[in-house]
Amino acid sequence: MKKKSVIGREHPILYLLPALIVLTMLVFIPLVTNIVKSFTVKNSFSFGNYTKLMNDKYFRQDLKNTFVWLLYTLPFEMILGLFIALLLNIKLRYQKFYRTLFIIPWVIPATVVCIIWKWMYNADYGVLNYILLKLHLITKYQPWIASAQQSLACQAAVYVWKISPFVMIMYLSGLQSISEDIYEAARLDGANWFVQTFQITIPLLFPVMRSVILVSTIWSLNSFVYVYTITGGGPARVSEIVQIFIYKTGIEQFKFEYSATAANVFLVIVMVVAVINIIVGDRAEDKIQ
Amino acid sequence: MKRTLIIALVLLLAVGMIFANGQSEEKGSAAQSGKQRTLVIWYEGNEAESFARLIPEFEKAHPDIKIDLVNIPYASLANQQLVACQSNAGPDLMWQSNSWVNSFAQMGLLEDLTDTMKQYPNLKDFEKNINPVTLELGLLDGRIYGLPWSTEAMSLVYNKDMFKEAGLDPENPPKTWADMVEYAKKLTVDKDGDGIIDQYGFAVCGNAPGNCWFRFVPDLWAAGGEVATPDLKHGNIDTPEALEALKYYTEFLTKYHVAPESSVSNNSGDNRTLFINKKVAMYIDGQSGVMNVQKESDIDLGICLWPGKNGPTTAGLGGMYVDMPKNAKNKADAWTFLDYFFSKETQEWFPIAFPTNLEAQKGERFNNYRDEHYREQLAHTRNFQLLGDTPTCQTIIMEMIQSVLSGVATPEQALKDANARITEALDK
Repeated sequence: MKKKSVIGREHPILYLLPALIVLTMLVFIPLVTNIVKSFTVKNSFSFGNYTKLMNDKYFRQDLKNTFVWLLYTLPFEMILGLFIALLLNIKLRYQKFYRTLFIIPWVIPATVVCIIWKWMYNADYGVLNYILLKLHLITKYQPWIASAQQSLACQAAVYVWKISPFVMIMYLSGLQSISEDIYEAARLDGANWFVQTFQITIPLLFPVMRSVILVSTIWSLNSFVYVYTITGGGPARVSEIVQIFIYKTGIEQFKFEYSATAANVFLVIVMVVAVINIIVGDRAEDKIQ
Repeated sequence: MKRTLIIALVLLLAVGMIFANGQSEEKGSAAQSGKQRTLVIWYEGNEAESFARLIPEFEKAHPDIKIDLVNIPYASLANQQLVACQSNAGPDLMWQSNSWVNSFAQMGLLEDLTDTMKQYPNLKDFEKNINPVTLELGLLDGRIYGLPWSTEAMSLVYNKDMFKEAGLDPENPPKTWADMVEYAKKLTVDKDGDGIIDQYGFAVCGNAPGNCWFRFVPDLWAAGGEVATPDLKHGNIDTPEALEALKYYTEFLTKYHVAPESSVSNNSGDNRTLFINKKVAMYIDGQSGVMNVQKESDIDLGICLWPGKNGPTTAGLGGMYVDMPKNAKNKADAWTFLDYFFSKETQEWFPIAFPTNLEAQKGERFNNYRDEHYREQLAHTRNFQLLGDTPTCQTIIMEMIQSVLSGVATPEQALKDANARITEALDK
């Protein structure tokens, strides 16, 4: 009998080694360097950066903007993603064509999406104003990203448009794992589409939903490209989020220690949000079951 | 066999990651004798066509040098150059706005050119062949860190046909701030009566730090203000003069509504597009920008001196420099290029705006309406203050303007905040 190789069982670390090397170089070393830098002021150990950050009105404003951004993006991408997934789960002709169509925003590079939307949002010659005016949905041109009140929401809409297809794919794969027998039994009991969706689909989809919400929350909090490309955080920093603050402070102003401080504080905040997300998800799942 | 394969793959991955460091550090080194060397140039500007002629000519004369030309949009040029120079990933030569060179030199990012340039025939008498005012911004402690090759000033550009339609004399353009407001009101028109303004009187620039700087600071000067105190260590814009200038600059939109609604997000290129598409009647632009307008439209345009508070006023002296990052990898070939570039023959045709070379400025191609008016504006220019961190100050001024245009802050609040930030930026 041929002797099987047991190297994997004896030295499983070898399989993990490449990933560990990459993680160490790209995550752990920068993280430790970041933490050390944040406690450095003029080459000496100090809490000065943290004190300064807590008193920085722009950081506080950007933190608030970041959570407003999360409120604008997360619910809408979940609802839109689920809605489209439910529609695409219906057996239709050309189902694969529709699925491909709805993936398009996801595959276009984010920078390209942002530049196109930036032009569409232009208050004077953007196509969005033109179409909405022609449809009589607005009576005058809207400033969109030129407005302090509308800017963040407009950019969040671009993010939702881009990310919803990913959410849709996740939900669709979850939906397709639900047995048709359950729906058949429900239909025999007289359950309509709404009852099926809310009493069967969503509860069974909940494990997928939990994971998608967690990933989407972290992605949303960490998003940078959209705001940076469309307005740079403007006008007048009103739509600036924490990632832009970290970039501008570190890369544009060369205040590396201060930027590291902001990054570390935000990392802790995101971790807390993720943990709360997981705890709430656990409890909700227990209740549903 | 399987064990050997696995070990080999893991080792290959580890070795690959250690040595996968992107481009070779030696790419541009003159030590690669016998092979073609690459010279990396970062530029921004309207000289794409000029480069399309220059590069083949240069490479033909120097077949061992290949130019890698990278065009970076002006709005992000300073920041990208700052990042690149700080992280030893910069080019061999870079095009810079004249307002940045001194700051970069103060940060220690640029090569001192003073002594080496004397070894090259087209550079050894450089200072004698140009207007010394244009060289000022490239100096630090009397040493040369940047070489100016074009000089440019901004003026008011307007559509003569729109003036006639509004009952204004196109040969009598606005000269004062009061004229500007009055003309802009008359030139703001809803042509089809649908309640939507089809043509605005004046395009205000609210985006891109350098664009805002070149358009706001001359208004500040006209009101009697300055960005920084004479010692260049503190902001100087929390003043009645600055308030007057900021109100004038922003009230085209906030009070009189004679500027486009998109002003807060429009840079100079956007305003030029609006002008080309006949959405605005007047805007501020430089010589090279107006050349684009003439190429892309048949607008009968007028150009006049910058309207000041009480009469035509000084504009900021603009223009482009070329300098060498201190950590440039191919300095030898960069010098070869500089010597070629600054020959009188090349300077006679390369710059779209006026060359700094005094002889080349006399060329016949400048005998036209546009260039004669810009030559007149050049006689009414001054240099910006040599601030320690001009790019940051430009960003602060831009954000100040945006905060007023978007209604986030009153002019008083915006000036106070900007002044504190400028002081912090200068106090490094």
